[in-house]
Amino acid sequence: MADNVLDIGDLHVSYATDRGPLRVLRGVGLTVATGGITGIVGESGCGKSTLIAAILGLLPGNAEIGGGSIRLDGQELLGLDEAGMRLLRGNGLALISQNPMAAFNPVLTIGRQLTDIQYRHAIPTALKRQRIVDMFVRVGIVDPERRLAAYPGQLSGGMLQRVAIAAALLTRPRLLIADEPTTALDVTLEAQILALLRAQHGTTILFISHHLGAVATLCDQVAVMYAGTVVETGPVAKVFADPRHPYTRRLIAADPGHLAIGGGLLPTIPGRVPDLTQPPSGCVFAPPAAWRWRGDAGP
Amino acid sequence: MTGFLIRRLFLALGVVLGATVAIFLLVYAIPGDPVTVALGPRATAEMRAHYRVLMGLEQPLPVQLWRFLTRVAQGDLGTDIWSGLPVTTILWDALPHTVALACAGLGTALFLGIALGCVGAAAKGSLADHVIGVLSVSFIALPPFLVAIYSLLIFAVTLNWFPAIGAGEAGNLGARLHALVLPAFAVGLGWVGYIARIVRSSLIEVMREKYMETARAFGLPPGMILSRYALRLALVPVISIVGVGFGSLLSGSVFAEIIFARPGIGRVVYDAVLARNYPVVSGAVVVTAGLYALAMLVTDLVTGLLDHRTHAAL
Repeated sequence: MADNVLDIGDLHVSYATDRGPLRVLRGVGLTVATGGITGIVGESGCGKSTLIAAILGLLPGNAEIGGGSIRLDGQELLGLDEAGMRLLRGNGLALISQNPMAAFNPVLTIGRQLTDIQYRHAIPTALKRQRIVDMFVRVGIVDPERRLAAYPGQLSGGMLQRVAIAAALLTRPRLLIADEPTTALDVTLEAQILALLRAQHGTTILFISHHLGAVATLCDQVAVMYAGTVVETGPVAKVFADPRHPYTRRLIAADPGHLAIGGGLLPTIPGRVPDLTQPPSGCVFAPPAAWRWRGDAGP
Repeated sequence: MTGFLIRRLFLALGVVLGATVAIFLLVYAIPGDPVTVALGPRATAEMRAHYRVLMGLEQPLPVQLWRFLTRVAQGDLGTDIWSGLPVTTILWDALPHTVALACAGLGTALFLGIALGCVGAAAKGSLADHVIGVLSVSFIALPPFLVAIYSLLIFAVTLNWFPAIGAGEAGNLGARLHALVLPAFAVGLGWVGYIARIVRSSLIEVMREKYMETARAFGLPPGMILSRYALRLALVPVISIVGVGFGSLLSGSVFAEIIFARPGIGRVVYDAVLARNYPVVSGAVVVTAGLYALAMLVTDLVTGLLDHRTHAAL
């Protein structure tokens, strides 16, 4: 097995829009070490979701891959056709999506849907259901047998996210992609779900979030994305304690977890994300230039 | 589920009762004396008075209504003024033809419409999608009676592929089906377009849902995604519309039955209205309302089987 389960190099993706190509990913480089948990943080619109879709081969029709590579265990994914990608989805790659309430088909039972995702295994249905029950126990779902007959609408959000994690783990993924799995949950549930993910030793996880606290709790490595590029990457402790890129500093400064109580106005990141149909040359974070006025060092 | 069934059953009974009362009042209010119609202009005053008592027409309206309802409840729809046959016999002979026509027309339309809708949704924006779209709208726009007349002229008169009139020899299933093709085509063509449009848009909408992304992210086979995960939800609106369509076809197949000279409920009603044969008209309305309510009941059941959440909502 390679050292890195996932190796993304210089990935360019753009969307065709009425105003010309929207360059969403502009040379993204990222590695996810085997058995490790890597976090991606960044604000909305920085390209996190596009990156996930590119890895899964589920980019929308108007997307165009402009170059680069995505390797899963050394296998290049970008040249693969749809049939080849489908073999990997749910077989080497698994996804936990953002909103557990919307992630399951509302008219099929949980048992049915989790049986379906095991369609590749030539084992009797009873055995598949037993695997689900075992996995439910592992992810802390009480009364697992009864949950199989439940429809998604009959379970709570936290419960459904456990189901989603169980579904992903059922496929024994080489890479588990968790796309903001705690965003739709309250704080208590978030802590539980993070602990659950943390407890899956040996599972390689790519954890996408805009919650810095969650990334700090869970991940070993972190990549900070801004406007379609990874601006900073490194071990979590190092990046958060000693951020090198001004955007990372701003992001950490804007994290409510870092604020003193009663601090008044929440800090914001000055300026706005540049228009990626006409990205500026040089550092994309340069135009706001706000940090320089406050005496921060430039990039 | 049982509670849902019982509630729906009561609703269906209510529909039939409402329609029965409505048609009775309508017939009562129609100008023209049923006695004159039945006995003709040369009947004497004594004959009229006798007949009036015989028919119960001298009674006040509520009594007449009550008598009518109790007779209907007992399965007695009255007697045909002209032939003297029980109305139930006349309707019972005609009904299978109409039900067969509605089932054949709508069933084929359902099958073709779903297939075309799936192709349109799967190949959204492609040439095939556009062609299907144009065809569908044309099918909807074509008046069914025109389709009937032209298909009759082309396929029966010119090409001689199908019989032009009648329902085929009794007892000969092949001949019956052969005679059913053109009328079913005329009745169902518009529905093909209608269903294809609904399936397409509803499927595209479902495909955009987050849970479809989950199904794709787990690499489920496209066939399974379409049939089990997408179509099941996309068909819910189609089923409700087809239910209404089946009901309206039962009474709306008049044109096909007249143009193709087929026996059927529509034809019976048409003839009865022209002849002021009121017992047959009201009997046919009661039966049609009953079938309509039955169609709605089946629709609700099927919808509930596809999407369990509708049971809770109704």
